[in-house]
Amino acid sequence: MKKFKIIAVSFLISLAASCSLDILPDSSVSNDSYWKTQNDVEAAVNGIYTQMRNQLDSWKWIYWFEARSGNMAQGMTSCGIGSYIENEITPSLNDVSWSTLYNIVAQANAVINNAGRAEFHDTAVHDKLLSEAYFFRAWCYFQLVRLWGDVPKITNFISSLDDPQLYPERSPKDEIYQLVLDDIAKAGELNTEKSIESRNRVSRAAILMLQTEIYLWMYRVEKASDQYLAMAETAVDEVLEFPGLQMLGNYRDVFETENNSEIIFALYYDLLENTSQYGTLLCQSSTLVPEEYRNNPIPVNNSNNRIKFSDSFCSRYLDKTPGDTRASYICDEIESGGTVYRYTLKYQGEMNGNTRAFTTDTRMYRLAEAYMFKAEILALKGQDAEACSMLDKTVSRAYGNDRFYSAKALTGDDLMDAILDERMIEFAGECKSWFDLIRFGVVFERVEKLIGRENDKQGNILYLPVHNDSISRNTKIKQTPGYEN
Amino acid sequence: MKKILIFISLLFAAIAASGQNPEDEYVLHGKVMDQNGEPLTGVLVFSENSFKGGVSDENGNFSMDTWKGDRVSATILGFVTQTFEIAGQDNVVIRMEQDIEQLEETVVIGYGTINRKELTSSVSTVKAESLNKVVGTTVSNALKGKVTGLRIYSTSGAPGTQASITIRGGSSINKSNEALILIDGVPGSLSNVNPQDIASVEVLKDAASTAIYGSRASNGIIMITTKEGSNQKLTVNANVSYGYQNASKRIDRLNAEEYLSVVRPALARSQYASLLTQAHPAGTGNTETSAFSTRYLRHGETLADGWRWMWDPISPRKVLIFEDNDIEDELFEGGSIINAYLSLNGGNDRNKYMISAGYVGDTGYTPERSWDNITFRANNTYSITRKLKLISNISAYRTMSVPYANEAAIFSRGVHLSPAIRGVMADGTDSPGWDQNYQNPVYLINNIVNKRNDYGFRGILGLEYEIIDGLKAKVSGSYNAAVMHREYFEKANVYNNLRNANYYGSIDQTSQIDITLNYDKTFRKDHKISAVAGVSSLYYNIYDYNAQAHGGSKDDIYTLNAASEYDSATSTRERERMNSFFARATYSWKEKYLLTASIRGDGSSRFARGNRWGWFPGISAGYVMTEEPFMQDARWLSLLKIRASYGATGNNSVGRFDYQGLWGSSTAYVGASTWLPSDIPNTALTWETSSQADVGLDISFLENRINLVLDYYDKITSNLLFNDKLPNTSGFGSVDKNIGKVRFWGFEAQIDARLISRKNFSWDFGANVSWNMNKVLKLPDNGNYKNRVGGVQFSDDYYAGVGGIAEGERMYSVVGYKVSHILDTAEEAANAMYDERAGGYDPATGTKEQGRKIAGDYEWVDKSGDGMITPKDQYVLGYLVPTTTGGFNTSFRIYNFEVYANFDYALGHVIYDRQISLVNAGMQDGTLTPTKDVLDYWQKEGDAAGTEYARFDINDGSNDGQWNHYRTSDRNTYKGDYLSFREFKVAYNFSHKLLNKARIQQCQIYLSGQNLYCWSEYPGYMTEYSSSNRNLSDGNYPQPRIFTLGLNITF
Repeated sequence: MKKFKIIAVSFLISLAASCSLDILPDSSVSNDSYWKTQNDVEAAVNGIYTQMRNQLDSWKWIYWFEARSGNMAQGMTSCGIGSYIENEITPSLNDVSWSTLYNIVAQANAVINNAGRAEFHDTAVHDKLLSEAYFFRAWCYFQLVRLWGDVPKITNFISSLDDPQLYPERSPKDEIYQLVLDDIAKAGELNTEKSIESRNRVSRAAILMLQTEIYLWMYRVEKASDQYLAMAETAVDEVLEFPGLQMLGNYRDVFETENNSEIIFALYYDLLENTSQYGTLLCQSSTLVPEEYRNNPIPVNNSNNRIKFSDSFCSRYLDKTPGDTRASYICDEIESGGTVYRYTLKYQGEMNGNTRAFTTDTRMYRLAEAYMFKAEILALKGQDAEACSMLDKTVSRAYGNDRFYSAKALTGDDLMDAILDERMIEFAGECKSWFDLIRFGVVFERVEKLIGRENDKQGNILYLPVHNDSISRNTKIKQTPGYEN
Repeated sequence: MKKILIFISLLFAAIAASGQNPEDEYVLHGKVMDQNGEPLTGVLVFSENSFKGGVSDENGNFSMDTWKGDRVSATILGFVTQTFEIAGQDNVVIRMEQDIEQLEETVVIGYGTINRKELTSSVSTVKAESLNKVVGTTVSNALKGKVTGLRIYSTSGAPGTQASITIRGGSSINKSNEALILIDGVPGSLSNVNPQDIASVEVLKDAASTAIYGSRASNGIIMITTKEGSNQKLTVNANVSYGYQNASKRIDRLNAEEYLSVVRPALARSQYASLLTQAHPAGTGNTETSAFSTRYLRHGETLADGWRWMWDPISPRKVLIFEDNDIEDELFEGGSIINAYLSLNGGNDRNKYMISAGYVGDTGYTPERSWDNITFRANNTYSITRKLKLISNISAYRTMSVPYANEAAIFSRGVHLSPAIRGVMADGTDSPGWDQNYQNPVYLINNIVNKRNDYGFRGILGLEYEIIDGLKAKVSGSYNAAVMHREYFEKANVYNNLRNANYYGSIDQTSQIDITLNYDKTFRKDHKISAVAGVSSLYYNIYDYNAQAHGGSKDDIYTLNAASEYDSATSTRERERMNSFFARATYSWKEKYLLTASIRGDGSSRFARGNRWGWFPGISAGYVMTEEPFMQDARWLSLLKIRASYGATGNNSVGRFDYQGLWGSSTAYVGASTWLPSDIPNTALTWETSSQADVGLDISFLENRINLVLDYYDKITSNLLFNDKLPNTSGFGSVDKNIGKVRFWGFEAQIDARLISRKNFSWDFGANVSWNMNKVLKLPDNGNYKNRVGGVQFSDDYYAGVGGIAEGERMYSVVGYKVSHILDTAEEAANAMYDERAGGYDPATGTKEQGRKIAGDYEWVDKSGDGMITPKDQYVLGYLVPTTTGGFNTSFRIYNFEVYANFDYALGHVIYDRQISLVNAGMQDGTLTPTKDVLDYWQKEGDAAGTEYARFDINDGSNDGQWNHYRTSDRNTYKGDYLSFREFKVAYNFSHKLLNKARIQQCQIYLSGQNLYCWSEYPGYMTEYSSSNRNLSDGNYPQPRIFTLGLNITF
């Protein structure tokens, strides 16, 4: 009996202690075990797109790429845009933190560094996925270097606390430009497919557009050699020949129809995925707009109207050419009870019940811009007449005239001004105005709040300051000269 | 209603169980005395067959009906029950002996019990009578002010909500500071048990007492022991009460006329003057369909019922008309609480049982908020043989509640909307409010259906076998399942007509096996040994699911099948296991020298191989000086014990899979699945270790009439699981690392005294105070001065950082500016310092200039002395956590009446406020109601002599505002010190003579109150805690003030 008791007790004890302590998660995957199949890499690349949506919220799009140009003004409810319009930006403002772009870079790095670990049956698929990752890394660093100047160069996927790139210093901007050039070249080599499978994903056409933009910037702003102008022209010429791309007859349709033939690459927004595309900031407020005008025609939503097109934008660009059919779509006004309600129809999403969902895809590259880039390149090369006719290809639907600019036969600075003016109108609200002004070299003349301020902040006025949080998390990061406290 | 009827019939059925009366009955007289020959009063002498009996009076005399051969018992608390057979005598003398065993308190510690006299570690006990003196609905609220070392604070007063508890400040910076809750030895939460089922609550505070629970014990342990059966005859206890409740705090704010007289001029002098003519609470553009009522009186119009009028403060010849509706009046409607409880307790030598059932119906005091709870319990001990016992504890509960889906939207935002809100729209519905984030609370509540059901089952089954005399083996297995499901539906309304429907829930299963060996033996009278050793395995298995859809067409069908668009459906599962070994031995010599030592080893699946196992020892010793021969004569000192303890415990509250680094699936892109990394791997992760030393003194005077317990403790946690912020270029926000050290220390004192004890009058008093302080000792190296994390820091000034967490500093600080004075004149303002945060809008010129001040602004203290006001001028304004907590209580008994009152208090914390400053800074475009203080704000030159407060502005806290009121400063960081009159009770006990006739042992009728009044400086709703997010997104549901009428009966 006693023996039996001893056996029973020891059995129970060993039973209790032998239950395994190795428990793997049931609903998530550990970092090591992730990269197994092609599906895993695809899901990770899809993650880059999701991060583009998650990280770049509506404020970032507007503050970083539009607000400083003076084309935007505060709407009917206050928001923080004042500091950006005035170009009085301080390191404590929420939106000067670069973490959003680095979070996207991290996902791209994850793919670039680990895609090789997974099994692929078809190298073409592997290369295409990799090219998407390189595209986004190049795009992110292109924005980082233009917004902050010297920035940390992170190319590893940080997966352990011992990684040497965990606490980086700011690398000189020339190194970053080199990284951007290398990445976008690599993307072009990896994706040679001459077709656009999906306009919501990065195709070769999108890669070529980014190449054109980068080479033009290097040539005009960073004063790189003429070779870059030639490279830009090669790239944009290929886009102009790309199958599946065609200008629409009506400006409005470019934005009202998703996946139309003019789009080269648009970031996808959808009711089931994300309904906060940046058009929400431009929408009017349903509490303030009188009932008879709500959604008829003024798009409203039950939140505040934060931003509108500025008075200077309207007088200088929108109202410049009478009969511009784009004007009323971009910006219009209704006066009621002594208040002027300025509204736009661009990027106003769709109605979901009685709530407005901002689901219009962000058109990052479209065919009209390819024509505009070509016009710019031709003008830089001195081929003014051809530049004019390229310009006409873009704006013929706006003025109802195939030879609007060809007839004026503009040359030299006048031509450049005209090209820039057209870009301001054609791409109004598409987050291109700020860098356009810098690239055309007229930012200190055309932006009212920057006149005479070339030497402000020790010459770094065009850059954003580094956010205080970036510095407190990594003391190797030093503030941009001119912005120190 | 039905429930009450069933309850009452059960009551009568129990009464009807009576015995027979034989014919040869006669009246027996007698006297009851104690062992000293003194008469004993209040002794119940009754027949075990007929249940008839009597109670001894002041002289010890009693009389009762009995017959020859009847069995009679004499019983009273504190004395050994006497039972004897009637031999036919007329008179009888009964001698009763004091029950020494009962007088010595038994304390529950881990895996066993111990005598209070032999206890060498720091453990506080709250017995059932004290816990449930005023019967409440939650255990945590019943503990307030009753135990040293506990800080109990409510973050929301919503029905059924438990308060949060920290013991001795907790032990961690970033990880949980919540105590481990054990119910009959099995982990659980306080809402799993009915407070009236509890026999005692033990709070284990120092390392030596908690070390036996090893890796989960660093934050202290609250052990709940439920009532067990007795071997006496069946006793039935019933408690029924009905209470009325309403909000205990309201905010003192402006009425509609005052609101308009303040906000309209403020709008006129701001950049938002265009709102004056629009559909705004202070604007005149409101029409019949607007949510707010303010507008001008039209020609020939007469004022409608319920409307008021005033001259427009900015156009004095125009008449403004408006409604005046205080949203608090709509919200705080008042409600009721019904609490009914029945327990059956009894048995014989073979079988002891306790069965109980309880019901609480709490309607909350706001619309659509309720909490209904039904509990059931059956605790049973059955002796299969003399040596083998079967123990079972089974309990089940069902809670049906209707919580608010977003309490903050109501009590932190919507409740502040202007009183000019329309009471009722033309179509009879409620006004919707300002916008989606600031909705009229009543409108929001009516549109959201949020029902929650919780079902719980807890079962423990054990076998105890006595191997040889003193050596017992016990095997017990327990299984707990908590099923929660929640139904959410938003009816179509002005802000959202999608009809979002959400169905989600979880199944939480815990199973535990314990095998222990207990040995208790006294050798040669002087040596007493008590030891326990065992193994334990704990397993968690948790499922979660969540389904969302929208697009239905009907408002009264809440289920997802009515929706037309399916949004998402997910489910997840998590498992965890912990295996443990533990042992403890207690040795006492002559009850004078005491020594206890324990060890525990825990292996957890939360950590990587190689870091899984931790060993946690504890040791404590005590010296009972009053057992010395030379102390025996000091009769006034009945106990003097000195004790000391030391031990190590752990805190394992990391995520279950943190060390592995994780990838998780995220929102789809064009419908294709996406995966993103969520955590960076950290294989070196292990638990935090706390070592704590405790020194204590237990003193009792005058035969235990006055008891004093004093403790001093010092706790250091090393290997702090620090959520180290990673550089924002890394793709990850932070990672948990074991680096860092923090120290908590303090002292506790508790006194309870029976001041007066007479036959018909007694007076008891108790008080306790706990003081706790913390200091950070070591932080990860990050290049900052003192390795500061968070707070305000400057890259160009190494020493200027303030706030956040830093080595050598106290935690939980609040950082802000200090006000120097008010700039009374335009000249003073022109000469004021540049203020970086001020937008500088001057209404006189209509221009903006960053940093400029205007008359009526605050001038801040220039801490850095650089002539400018920048973030460097911030001070530490106070701390979020109190230093001193405590309580005091007193009770009187006069004849048959009892009066009881309990107070608790906390001192030393500040309330980091965003509620009051939100409204007094005119935020949200002035649509919110400021408090009455605003009437005293500066308005014109010369006012600075009579007021402390700067000018009222609209959107003071925006980029263009001056940030007078919205900036964190010593003006909006209030002292959090409070004194709460927590519990009150007046009871009448029916006399025994009256009760005897109905064979009832005890009957009490009472009137009680809870949360009667709270004295504090903070004008907002919640004073018991202050959160680091400035109370913006906290629930803030004010605590209810409850008055209850009840009946407690035992027979």
